[in-house]
Amino acid sequence: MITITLNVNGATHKVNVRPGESLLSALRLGLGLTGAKEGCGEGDCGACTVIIDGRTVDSCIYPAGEAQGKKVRTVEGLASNGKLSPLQEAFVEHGAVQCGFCIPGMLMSATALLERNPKPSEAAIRLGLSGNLCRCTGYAKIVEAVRAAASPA
Amino acid sequence: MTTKVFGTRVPRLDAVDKTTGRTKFVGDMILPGMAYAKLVHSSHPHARIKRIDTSRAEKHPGVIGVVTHKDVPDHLHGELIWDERLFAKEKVRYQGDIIAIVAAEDQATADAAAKLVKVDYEPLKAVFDAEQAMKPSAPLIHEKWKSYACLPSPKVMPVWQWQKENPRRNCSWSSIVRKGDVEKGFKEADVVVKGVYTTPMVHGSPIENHSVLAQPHDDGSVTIWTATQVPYVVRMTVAAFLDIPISQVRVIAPAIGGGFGAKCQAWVEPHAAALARKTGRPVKLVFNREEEFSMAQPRHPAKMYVKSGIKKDGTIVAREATIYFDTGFTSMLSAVQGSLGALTAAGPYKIANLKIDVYCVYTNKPSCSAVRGPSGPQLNFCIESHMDELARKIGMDPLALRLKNAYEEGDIAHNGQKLHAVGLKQCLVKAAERIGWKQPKAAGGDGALVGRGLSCAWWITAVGFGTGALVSIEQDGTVHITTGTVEHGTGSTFGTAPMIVAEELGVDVSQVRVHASDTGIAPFDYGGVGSRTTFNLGHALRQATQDARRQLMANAAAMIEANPDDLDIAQGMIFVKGTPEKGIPFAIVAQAAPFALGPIVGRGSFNTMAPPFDPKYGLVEGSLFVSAQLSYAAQAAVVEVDGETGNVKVTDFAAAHDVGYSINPMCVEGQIEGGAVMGLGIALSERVGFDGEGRMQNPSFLDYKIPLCCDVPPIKFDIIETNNIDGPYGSKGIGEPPIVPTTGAVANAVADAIGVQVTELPLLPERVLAAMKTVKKR
Repeated sequence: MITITLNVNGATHKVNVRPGESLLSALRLGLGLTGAKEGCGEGDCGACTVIIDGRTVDSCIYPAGEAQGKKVRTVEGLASNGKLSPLQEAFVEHGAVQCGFCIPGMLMSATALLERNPKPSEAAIRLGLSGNLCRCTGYAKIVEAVRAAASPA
Repeated sequence: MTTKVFGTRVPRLDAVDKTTGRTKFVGDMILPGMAYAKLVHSSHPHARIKRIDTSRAEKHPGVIGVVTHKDVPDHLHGELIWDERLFAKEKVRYQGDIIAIVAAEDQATADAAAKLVKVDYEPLKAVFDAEQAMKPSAPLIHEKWKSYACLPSPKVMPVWQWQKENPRRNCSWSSIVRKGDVEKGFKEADVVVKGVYTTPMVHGSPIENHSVLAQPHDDGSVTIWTATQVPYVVRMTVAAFLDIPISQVRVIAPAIGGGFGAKCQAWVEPHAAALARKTGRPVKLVFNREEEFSMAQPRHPAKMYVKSGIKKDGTIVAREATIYFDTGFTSMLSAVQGSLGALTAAGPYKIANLKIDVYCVYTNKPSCSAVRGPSGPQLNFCIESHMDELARKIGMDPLALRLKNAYEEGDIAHNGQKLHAVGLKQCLVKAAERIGWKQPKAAGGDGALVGRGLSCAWWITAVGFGTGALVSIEQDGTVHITTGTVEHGTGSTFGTAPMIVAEELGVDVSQVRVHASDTGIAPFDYGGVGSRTTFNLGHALRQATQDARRQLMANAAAMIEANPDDLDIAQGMIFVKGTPEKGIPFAIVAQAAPFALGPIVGRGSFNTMAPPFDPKYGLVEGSLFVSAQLSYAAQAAVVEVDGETGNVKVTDFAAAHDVGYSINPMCVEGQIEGGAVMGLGIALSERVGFDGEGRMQNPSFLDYKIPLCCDVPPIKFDIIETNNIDGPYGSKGIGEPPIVPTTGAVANAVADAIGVQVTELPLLPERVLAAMKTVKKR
């Protein structure tokens, strides 16, 4: 085991990891942050998406050690003081959540997208979420929610 | 119906936790002393087992225990037909058959130790195709099929007896339809058209893999948290395989990360439970994606032969169909697949003469189960492609042909059932209108070929399995629903059920809490299968809430000295009708009730019954569902086909669904949008491939292509309401119907673009190009 230091959602933690252990595993087993999910373990489905220094990564294939000295953000950090972020709020209001397994990753991709491009076109939203597989919704209400969060009424 | 809550856009009660990451799925759970498990699979598709040696695995550092067939009771079990073993004993029947399960201190050790279990095999001839498997030369996969037992239910036993009296080689289940005289019908026809259609194995592939956590207790009982659609079936199956009473098994299905039928049967729960009981430790078994693809209950591949006779005016006079479903190495829910196939193969059309044979056939492949709309997308591709062939042969508009033959209110279907609330024609007209069926086709971009296609379907809501529900009112006015139903994403339990309680009780949805899918505390429910949850739970909850309301009103009446029948509830107040200003708060009555007339606990219990049918109008044999609660649907697609590459792009898509009555529009829309997109995947890109040894070639999301967000067009939906007299508040099932008509609509749009039907799914570019070449040759 190696001890590494991770900055996650603004707080610094010491975590013991095996050599080559993924960031996803360190978050889930080491820090008990089980919001990010493992759907494939191969970087295909996006359920494990987190934001590192402003960019989305598949944390299942990202070595935990690589995240040292960087700012990691997970779904647990989106709400502040018990208040949902506008995107989380829109996902709830627009019926974008069904089984919910893809949602933590989907929200991180959508958050990074809106930070990069606050007024995305529908095509830009669809492209921005194409690294995240959802099997329940057909993506319609997810796209609708992102659009609503981007243009508050 | 005047309503306050129904029809409004209310967020589901589990949505906030699911957006914050707080929701716990089975894979997120850790228990003290928990061990990690790995399955050992067969490396042969069909072989006798000569010896199993687990000694090296057991001695491996960090291994806690290994379980094989020697550690569990020596008998077969299953859900409907008992042809399964927990662990292979005499032989293996596919590459993946379970030999053993290993527990270790961590996952890496369990994975390494599983590879140390050694098995000596004597290979047998294998068969990988359903039609081939029925030939006399094919190896027998279940030599003792005739000795198998079935679920000891009065509904299943006579049908299983019929199966045994009508055996066919390697057939696990057959269902047939006989109506009128097809030979006579073909003679009356002006044109007879034949077709052969093929669909591959496809996978429901929920994003959450199968996950089980089993905790043993000192008294021999076991608690199982599992990602399942059917906790009560899991309870029954674990108890049966391990020879313990069902009361010794508690099954909890917490949040489920999607099911789609891949989780609609007990599967590896008994294996995990056996390992937990042997080692005395909690055991967690989580599939990786490769295991999910290669083991977990895909959709049946199909080969479908169809022949119809039609008159020049569009009257279909006869149809004959022979359908081969590849069921894999055990029957799983083939009884359901075959039974539904017989009901849906005719299509929702008035046809005087019918002869349909549906065979579910054992092969040396993974067991197929009842994936969302079992038999639906396969048969829709076949029947609806064939309908367009018929339309082309007689020069009739495909919409007009369907409208001419479509079932209507009061018709007697081929199973002898009189039809009610038939929104089929409205669906057809609406879906066609939404893609501009009557307008000229727009030109395609970059010279692409443009095509439009239409398809329709009927689908069933599963009948004969019941649901119980309790509604209790807490002292602070919170209303609790306790039920066995499962929330695997559809919203029936956490979206629609609270609306029913809120509507009946005059409270806000935010006052309602749901406690679901725990066999230890909740009344029975069969499971989240067969589009049945809202149908059954809706009825049970209506009873339970009305019962709770009566108790609440009796308490209030005693407090304010009024007649309970004169009272009403609105905005959190209970009052004498007409004088809302003199009301008493709901919460005050709830608080007082335990010390007055007693705690408020309403109960509801319901089972959907099959509608009556008269066999003189048609004969369906070998089927578990001769009649059914029916939903109707039509979908329409516009595609652009690239003439150079054969690539198909869906540019417009409409889905019109007769849902009877829409209680929760956001959830209904979510089912339509999600189901149609899943159907687009089956139509265009999804297939499981096998090599010559029955080994799956593409068990990953990289090689098995499900639709991405950028792949799909917006789905234009229309909700048609026909007020189903049998449904709760007039509603019908909607979980499965949206996936059923999609394959037909897309296939017909492609055929319209290129001038010929493509007869094999998915509609890959190379297949489309090959079909285009046959047109050029003509």
